[in-house]
Amino acid sequence: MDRTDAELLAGSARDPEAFGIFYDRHAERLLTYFARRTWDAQEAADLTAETFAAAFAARRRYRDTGPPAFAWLLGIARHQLHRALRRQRIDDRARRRLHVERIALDDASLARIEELADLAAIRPRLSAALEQLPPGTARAVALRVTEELPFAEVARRLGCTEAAARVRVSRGLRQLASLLEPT
Amino acid sequence: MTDIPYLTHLRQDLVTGVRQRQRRIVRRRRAALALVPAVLAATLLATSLPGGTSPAFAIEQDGDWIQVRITDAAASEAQMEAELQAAGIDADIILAPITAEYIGRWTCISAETRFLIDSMRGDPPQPPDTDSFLRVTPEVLYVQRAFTGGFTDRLVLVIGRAPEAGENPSAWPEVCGLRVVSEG
Repeated sequence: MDRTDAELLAGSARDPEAFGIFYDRHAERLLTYFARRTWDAQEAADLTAETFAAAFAARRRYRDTGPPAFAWLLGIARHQLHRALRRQRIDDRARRRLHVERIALDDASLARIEELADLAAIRPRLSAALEQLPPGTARAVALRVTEELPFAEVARRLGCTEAAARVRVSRGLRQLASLLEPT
Repeated sequence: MTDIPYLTHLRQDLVTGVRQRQRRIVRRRRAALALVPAVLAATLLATSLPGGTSPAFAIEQDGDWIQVRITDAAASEAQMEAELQAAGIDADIILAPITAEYIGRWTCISAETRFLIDSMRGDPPQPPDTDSFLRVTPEVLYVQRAFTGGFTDRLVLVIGRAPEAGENPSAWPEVCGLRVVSEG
């Protein structure tokens, strides 16, 4: 009988292959999750690696109380994503603790990730949605998300305060989300 | 299993990493066991002499609130963060050079909001109102217990320290980069 995710996590320190089985169950889905949010296959790959390493470090905190393990994993993933966005770099502490080196994507993986996340289809829709935003809002989103500038720099370029820049980006992303919602 | 070469490579590295970590732990445990008598003796000696590592904070649980007082402002940021972490407060500590009246005192706090990519899926999740969850005076930081479990974003706590040689102290509130909380 297949072991549950909770059993795999609980046994993974003594039986590393158990962690491998847990990884097999969720890796592709997690990579897709990141690819659809970063629109960058290498960043998605790096975030996936860090999230699994962090999940191993936090395995004792997982409680099999109903929510599936993927939801727990997704909680760690969101945290990693938010940290990466705030700090303008992807954390690698958990990965380094396991002595796992960063892996550069090969062409086959890159193409497969783009296909998996349907990035080719999303990009034109995003461009079209961006064009529907008010120019100031679209520029704020582009500076922050596309050019990945810190808010202080976004504010400087827009000629507004940092708080106003944050509001503009947040508002723009909400508008984008509603424009991209499937009808 | 997957048909993405990257994921196969990563799996192999992670499993190897976990396996090697386990071996390191076993080696360390064996080495530690061998050192137990010496460590016990050293601990007894250290606790009987002045100058041992002292806690950076006095942390008290008071109903719904955790109260944190600075007891050793000379402790490292890492030690301070570790002590807060042990009390369930996940925060980054910054020791900032400041004018004399704020040395060794709570200077400011900031809590960044989570936003961006999740907001693509609807309304961005709102952080708790930090004024309701965190209060600070120069002497005491109050953290509502609910805050420790419900807020996953970055919390930054700034403590004033004496400037080092050649370093210019900042005045309060300029030392606070993001958000200044009044002395309340």
